Amino acid sequence: MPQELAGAFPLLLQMAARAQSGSEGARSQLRIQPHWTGVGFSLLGQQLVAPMGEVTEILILPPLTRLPRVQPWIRGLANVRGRLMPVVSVTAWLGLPSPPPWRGQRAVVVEAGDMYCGLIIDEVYGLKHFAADAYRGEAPQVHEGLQPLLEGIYGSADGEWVVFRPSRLLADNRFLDAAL
Amino acid sequence: MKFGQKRLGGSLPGGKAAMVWGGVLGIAILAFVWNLITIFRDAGHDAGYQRVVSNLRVVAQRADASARETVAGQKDAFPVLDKARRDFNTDIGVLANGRDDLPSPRDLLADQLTTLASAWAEVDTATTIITEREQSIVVLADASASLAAAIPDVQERSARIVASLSAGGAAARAIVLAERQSFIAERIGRNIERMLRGSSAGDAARQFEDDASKFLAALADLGAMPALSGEARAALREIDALMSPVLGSRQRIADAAPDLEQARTAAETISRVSPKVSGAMSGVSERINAFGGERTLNTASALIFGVLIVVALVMLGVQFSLNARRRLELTAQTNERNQQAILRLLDELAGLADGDLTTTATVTEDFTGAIADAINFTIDQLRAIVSSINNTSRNVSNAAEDTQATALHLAEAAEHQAQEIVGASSAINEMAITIDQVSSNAAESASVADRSVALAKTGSQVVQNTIGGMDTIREQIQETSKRIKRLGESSQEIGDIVSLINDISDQTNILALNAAIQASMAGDAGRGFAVVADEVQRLAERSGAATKQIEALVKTIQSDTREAVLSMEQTTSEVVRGARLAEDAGVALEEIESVSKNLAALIQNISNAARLQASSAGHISNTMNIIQEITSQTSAGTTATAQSIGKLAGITNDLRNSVAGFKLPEEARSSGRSR
Repeated sequence: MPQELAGAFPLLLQMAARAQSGSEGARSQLRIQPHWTGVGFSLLGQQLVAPMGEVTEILILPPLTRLPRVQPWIRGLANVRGRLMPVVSVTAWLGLPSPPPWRGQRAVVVEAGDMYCGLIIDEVYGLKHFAADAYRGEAPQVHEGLQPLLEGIYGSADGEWVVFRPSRLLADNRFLDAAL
Repeated sequence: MKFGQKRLGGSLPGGKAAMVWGGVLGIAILAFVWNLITIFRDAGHDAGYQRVVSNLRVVAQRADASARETVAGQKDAFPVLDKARRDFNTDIGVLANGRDDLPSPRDLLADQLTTLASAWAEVDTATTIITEREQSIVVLADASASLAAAIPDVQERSARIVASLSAGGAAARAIVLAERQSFIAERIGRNIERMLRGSSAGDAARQFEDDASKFLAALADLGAMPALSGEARAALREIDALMSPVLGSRQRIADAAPDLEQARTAAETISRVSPKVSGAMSGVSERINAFGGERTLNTASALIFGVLIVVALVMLGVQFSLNARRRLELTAQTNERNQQAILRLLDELAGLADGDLTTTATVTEDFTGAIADAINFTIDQLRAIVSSINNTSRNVSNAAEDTQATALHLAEAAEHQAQEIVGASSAINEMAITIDQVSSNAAESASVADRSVALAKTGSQVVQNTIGGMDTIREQIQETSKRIKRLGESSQEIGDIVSLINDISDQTNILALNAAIQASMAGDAGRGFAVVADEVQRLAERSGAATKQIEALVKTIQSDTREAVLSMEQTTSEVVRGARLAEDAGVALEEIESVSKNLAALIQNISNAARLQASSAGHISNTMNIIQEITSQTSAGTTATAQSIGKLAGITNDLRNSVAGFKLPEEARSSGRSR
């Protein structure tokens, strides 16, 4: 029967495609293209990606020692392998109310010179690889406080990722003026 | 009014004469009648006297005969004599003094009666003498009789004694004595005869006495003699027995002789006087016969009275004829006068015949005056009657009209009632039908109720079963729930473990990330490490994804478990509720059962009541029929009544018309005689 044959062949093609999509081993071939890698995370509900060079570490939120007489966006001090790290809540720094703590909260450790602090973010998605041509330089629609920290947007299969530059935050004077 | 005088009839003197003669006639008749009565009565009395006299005659004869018989010695003549004497005395008393039915004829009989009385007095005394000496006579007679009978025997026995003595060789004196005995005996008999006969009775008596004494002495001597044979002694004894009784009373016998003498004398007196007595009685009888003419009221007087009657009748007749003639003349005159008066009255009352009640008759001194007065009275009455008839007829007419209207009303109402009854009848029939239906429905309902009872029973049973089943279910569900809870707990453990794995994978991820970062920082040298770190990160991601899936699954399981537990709890509660509902249902079913039973009973009652009602409806239906009949009868009767009232009204009108011809003074005055 000709129709069945016609129906059967696409079916076979579909099955082949599925098999191909199911296979994992072919991903490395895709990455031969030039790409940009970043650490994907979410903050204030916005998918952000921080460049690999500016992020030192990702940490599960450690126990914090509260500091007296400091800005409220400084959540406290943490001990990271013997190093003191001040932990900052970006949302508090932006003046927004902090979301309630949850298990998936992570701290992004950024280091700039002798500035070693952690930024509390909502969720870490892991390393994000983007094709270099997926970059768009337009300004994202985010909170105004966050605006200066952001630069560009990367589009990918799983959404728009806005590039977040923690270094800019560290360079902010207001940020540096932690004392109350 | 001049009636009284006219009533006597005839002129005064004639009437008086007639009255006088009438009176005379009456008196004469009465006297005549009285005379006749008296004559007859006296005749009767005379007959009675004659009968008395004849009775006296008979009695006298009887006395005479019985006196002779008594003296002759017949005992039964004494009472006869005595009775005859008494009867005679009684009858003489009647003649002298009268009796209940006979007046005393002494006045008329005076002389003859004295003669008779004197004649009788002798007889009376003689009779008395005789009866007083009855005893002696009887004794004497008896003695004579017994001696007469005994003496032949005595003689015979004496002869035997003589024979015996002579044969026995007794003394001559004895034999002589014995022989003499028979002579003495004979002489005694003869003397007694003589005494009886009365011829020289004194001598006879003396002789008798002597003889008797001698006889007895001789008997004694003979008895004392020794040379007597037994036969002779027997004969002596016999003689003694025969003679002693008589001779023993010789004294008395001797004494009786004078009595007998006297009695005999008396008897003779009686015989002698008897003719005188009878002659006196004949004189009395003749005198009695002559009574008729001696009395004051006798046939002659009757004749006189008869003649007087005839004379009076004649005179009366004459007087009546005279009176009649005079009366005729008077009558003719009065007739003439009356005729005139009557003609006048008729003239006056001419109009009355036509019904003119206004007329009145003039009351005059004539005899028609009374008639005129009466007629006036009658006219007044008639007026009154006519006017009352008019009024009454008017009233009756009105009343009849009213009654007719009422009767018609009644008839209508009866018709209406009949219709209503028809309606009620049909309604009752319907009701009866409905009741029948109700009854049948009730029967059905009863059966339904019974069925429902049975069903309720089964339902109750089912409910019990359900409750049991629900309990089982509940237990099973609770067990399942426990198992599921355990499952949940297990999944909770799984969840914990998975979260641990998740943590591990997170940490691995972070580690890998850090490694990747470090590798990137290392540059080219760290490229291989970066690949490894990448692979590790990928693994961690996969593990994380898997754990996420597991988590999701576990969550799902947990939520499902919770849901399941919840639903089971819900189910349990539902089951409990269901059990309760089933219990309630059971209770309700029991209630239903009891209610159904009650219902069945009630329906039975309803059925019975419906049946009763049906019969009652039947009764009512019958009663309604009867009422309908009665109503139709009433209707017919009322119609008939109305008709008869109409007739009555018609009759009343006729009545009024019948008296319409009469003119009444008021009408005449008011209508002015315009008929």
